[in-house]
Order: sequence, then C-alpha cells, then structure tokens
Amino acid sequence: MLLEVRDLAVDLPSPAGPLSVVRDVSFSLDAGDSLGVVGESGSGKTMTALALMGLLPDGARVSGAIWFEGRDLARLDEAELQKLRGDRIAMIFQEPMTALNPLHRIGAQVAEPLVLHRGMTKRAAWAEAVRLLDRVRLRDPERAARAYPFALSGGERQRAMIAMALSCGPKLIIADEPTTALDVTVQAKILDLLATLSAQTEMATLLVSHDLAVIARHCRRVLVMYGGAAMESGPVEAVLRRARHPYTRALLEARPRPGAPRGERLRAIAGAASPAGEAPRGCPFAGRCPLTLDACRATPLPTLEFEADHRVRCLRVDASGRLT
Amino acid sequence: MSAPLLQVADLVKVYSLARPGWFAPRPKRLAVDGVSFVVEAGRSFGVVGESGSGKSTLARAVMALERPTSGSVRIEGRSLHDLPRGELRALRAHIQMIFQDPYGSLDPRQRVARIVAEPLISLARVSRRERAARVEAALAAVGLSGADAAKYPHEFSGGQRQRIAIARALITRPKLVVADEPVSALDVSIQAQVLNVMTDMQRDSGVTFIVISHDLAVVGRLCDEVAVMFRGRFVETGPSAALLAKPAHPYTRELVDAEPKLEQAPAAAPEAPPRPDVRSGCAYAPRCLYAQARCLEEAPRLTARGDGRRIACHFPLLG
Repeated sequence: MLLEVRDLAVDLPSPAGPLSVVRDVSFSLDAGDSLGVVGESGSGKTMTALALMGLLPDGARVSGAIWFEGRDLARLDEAELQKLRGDRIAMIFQEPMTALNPLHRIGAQVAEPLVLHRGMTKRAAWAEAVRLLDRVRLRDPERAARAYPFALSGGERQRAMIAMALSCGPKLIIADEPTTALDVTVQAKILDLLATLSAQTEMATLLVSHDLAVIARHCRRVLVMYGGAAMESGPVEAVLRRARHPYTRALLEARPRPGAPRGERLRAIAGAASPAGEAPRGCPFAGRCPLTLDACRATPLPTLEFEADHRVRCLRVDASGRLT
Repeated sequence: MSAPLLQVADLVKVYSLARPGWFAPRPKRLAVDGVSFVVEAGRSFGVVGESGSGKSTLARAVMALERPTSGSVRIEGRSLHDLPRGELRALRAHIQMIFQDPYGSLDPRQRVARIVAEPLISLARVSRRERAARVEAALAAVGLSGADAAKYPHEFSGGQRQRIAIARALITRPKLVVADEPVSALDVSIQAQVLNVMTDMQRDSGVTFIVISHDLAVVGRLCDEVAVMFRGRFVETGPSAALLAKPAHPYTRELVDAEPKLEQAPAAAPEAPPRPDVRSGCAYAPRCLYAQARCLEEAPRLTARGDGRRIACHFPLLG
C-alpha cells in the first residue's frame, strides 16, 4: 500500500467558526494504480488533494491519518513536507500558467527540483530537463527548454508541468483538474500521456476531476464525493455499471448522452448543494436526494462493502446493494 | 418565399494585432474566414469548435456586437450591420444573448425583477403592469417563483442564476437567442436543469437558439443543425444527429473520439506525425491522420453533399 488515507477531515477557519469542508474520507492507493476523485464544486475533492500535499490554506485543521510510504503526512512539519513535495509526491494543477513562473525559462523550471532534491549541477539538470521535455513529447525539446511559458500553447505548458512533476521520479502524482482549461482533443492526449508515463514508472496517480467520463476513461478506481464526504468508491467498471448510491445514479443520469433523441428531458437533480458548513450532519446529499428519510439527516453515514472493494455510504442501500 | 430567420453570408472578421516592431506592419489574424450559413425559424443551430476557432467572434457578429470586416448578417432579410440605429434597436428585441458566466452577467446590485425586465424597459414599450406579469411568467417558465423576483443574484446558486439569465433573454419573446457556452460553467447536476429549461423553451415558445459550445453532447441535445469550426472556417455542417454519429471530416471525427464518454471503451488518441504548418493547403492538414500531398497544397472548399451536409475535405471519411 503506497497511500492510505483514514478518516480524513479538514476544517477551514471562517468568521462564523470552523467550516467542515472534508469529513470522514478514507481511501487507499497501491503503487502504479490510479484513483479518480470526482465531485462537483464544494464536494471537497480539491481540499482532499491539498491535504495530501500539506498545501491547505492557513489555519486549516486536519484530522485523521495520511499514511504514505510508512509515514503519516498529517503529522509531518512543513520542512519535512517540503522534502517530499516535488520529490516523492508531485502535483499538477489546472492552470499551468499560474503554476509556472513567467520570468524563467521552461528548462530552468523543469530542472529546479533536480537541483533542489537531487543536488545536480545546473548544467546536468538542464540536460536532464531537455530529456524530460522529450519524454512528455514536446516538439523540439531544446527549443521548448529555452522558451518562456507565454511562448507555449496551453497543452504544451501542461506537458512542461508534467515534465517538471516527473523530474525526480515521484511515487505518487496528484493531478487536480489537469485538463479542464484545455480543449478536448488536447485533454485526451495529455491524459493518455500521463497514463503511459505512470505505467512505465509504477507511479500511482490521483486524478481529481468534475468529469466522471474523464475519470472513467483514465482511472482504474473512482471515489465519488459530495458535500465533503465520500459517497461511493470502487473499481470504475463496478461503480458505473452497478452504481448503488442515489447520488452516483443521479449524476450518471443527469449527463446528456451523445446520440440521445433531441428534445428528450434530462433527469435533473433538483436544488443545489448546500454551502460548506451548512450540510446536514448525516448525509450531505439528504434533502436533494429523492429517497431522503429523517434518519438520513441525523445518522452518521454507514459504510457498506460489496464485491471487489466497492463501497457505498447510504442508509437507503441494504446489504444486498439494493435501494430500500 | 419569406426570408430565413438568419442568413450569414461570406462573413470575415480580421483582427489587427500589436506591431512586433516600430516599423513592422501590424500582423493580421483571421478570426472568421468566410463563413456562410442559413438558420430557418425553429431549427436551432449549433457551432462547435475549440478555443481560438472563431466561434465566439461569429456569435458576436450575429448579435451585432462586432462589426464584420466583410460579409453580411441578415435577420429576416434585413442586413444587421447596415440598419439605421433606430431600426437596429427595434430589431434587438428579437435577438437576445445568454452568456457563459452566470455570475458576471447579472448586475449584483439589481433585484431579479429589474434584471429580468431590463430588455423590456430598454427595447419595448410595455406598461408597468404588463411588465410585472411578464417577469412573473418568465420566471415561472424557468422554474423560479414570483417571490424570487424580489431577491438579489447572490441569493441564488449558479444554475438558478443561469435560469435567471435565460428568463431575461426570453422576456421580449425573441425569435433568436444566441447562447455562448450556456452550461459550461455549471456543475453536471445543474447543467441538466438548465438544458431542460432550454428544451422546454424551444417547444413552448418556438425560440430558435444559436448554441456556441465546445461540448458536442450539449449541442447535439439542443440543436437540429450543427457546424464544426476550425481556424475560422466551417469544416463540416449538417443535421446534428447524423453528423455526430458519423463524422465525415477528420477533424469532426477527432472531436467526437476525444470526447470522454461513459458508454464506450476508451481508445487511445492517435497522434499524427508532426508536419509543418501549411500556408496554402487545408488548415487542419498538419494534425490530420489522413492528410495526403494534395491537402498540403490546396485548401478544400466547403461543398454540399446530397445528405444535407457540407464538408470541406478532399478525402472525407464516408464515400
């Protein structure tokens, strides 16, 4: 087990007192495996990813455990986390333009973690950076290394970010909406590239996305989050074919399917997600869920496990996986 | 025969960019490069393409928010860009727009009643009483209550805000509504609410939408006809169901294949061997998996086929 997250909870400070943005989230990830975390805005998916990296906003309180290579990341201090970040754990963000320094050449930025974590000389690190840029299939890597970020297209910048993330051979890569700002044709190529590279290096991938289809295409397992809590998780195949949680089912039915007849109404989910901190104490989907009982709002979420680590957290699902 | 609702002919929009040097000529960018199409009333039309394809510039030209470099936009036969001011104003009541961002497009200091009534106040002469009745009817049509009229935009979720924007666009009972990425800023569970409202509008009020989107499924759901745009030109147009099911242009095919789908096993996206950009040939040729020598030399023209499609490709994928 490379990564094991147990009972993760994150509270953010606010004028009205601590806001619970993640609660009671548990999952694990093996070396070389891939997990997609899917959720809408406010689901807590990004906060979960940031908690793993120790990059939560100031004043955030984390509880639970984040075991990575035998150490609990939730207990490490900033200096120790800094040693891990960019070395054993790398991260890719949505908008590479904000993650890249506009004043430095791409090559120097890709080389930086190698100088920092591996003690390479600048010259050796630059040569390695060019090799990495070639590996992420940037056209003319020598030219790309000398370029400044603004001279590259969005897709090229994201490839450069991946090269930077891979530089120290991380064991875990966390990608938060890495392709949301890109065109779909570029998105497909970037995610395929990421999958190929993880397969070659036994690197585990945690992909955070609002798009279930993106995760279905590129991950082996999926974790569905809503209102800060885990709703359903398991192998992608099982969760999509035999979705058991009412939220997962609603999410699947709300998507416009290609080839569906014109004018056919979609099954919309009524209402909107409660803002963080205002969600019911029990299931955060209670109220919007058509199957809500009074107990759903008050009872802590049960966890039911089905074949092949398919987990569902819903009061209305019985032991056989059917809705009651 | 009466004129079609919208007729766009040989539309060209050139932007001049900043000079690279003091004495260098201003470089030009062809955002829209000779686009022609006709939209009949009641037949919603979608334009899909990636960022930089020119689809938003096209939308702005149709809305008379942008003056084309050449070519014409006709609404029921009247040329939009040659109309005297007064007549353009009167015509504006019949063409409305829905924007992508439901946060930026609603004035935060106005109550919903005022926001929704705004096009009525500036474009049509209606009594105060009729105005209130129309606001309530418009809000009801998008699934909001009369009580919501007294609230401010920040009291609503993103999906509700986009529904308010739709109510505002429809209050003048326009014939044509241009919707630029109407759901792409919304969560999946909220998108369905907005798409349903738009579908109901088409059925109940007969409004014709021009939907600009990068999302093929959204366009397929709302539109009868679709055009695929690449580097300022239409590369393929036709009935949306047939076109999305069986793309004939290699670029349409690339878009359809790249769209992540739940229903289909993943296929690796093949990458074409890199080729230099072309000056005279097909703009898509450098990326095309099927490009041949001719494609690099001669730009294909958009040509009608028997089945209601137009394709700009020397070697289309279906016979």
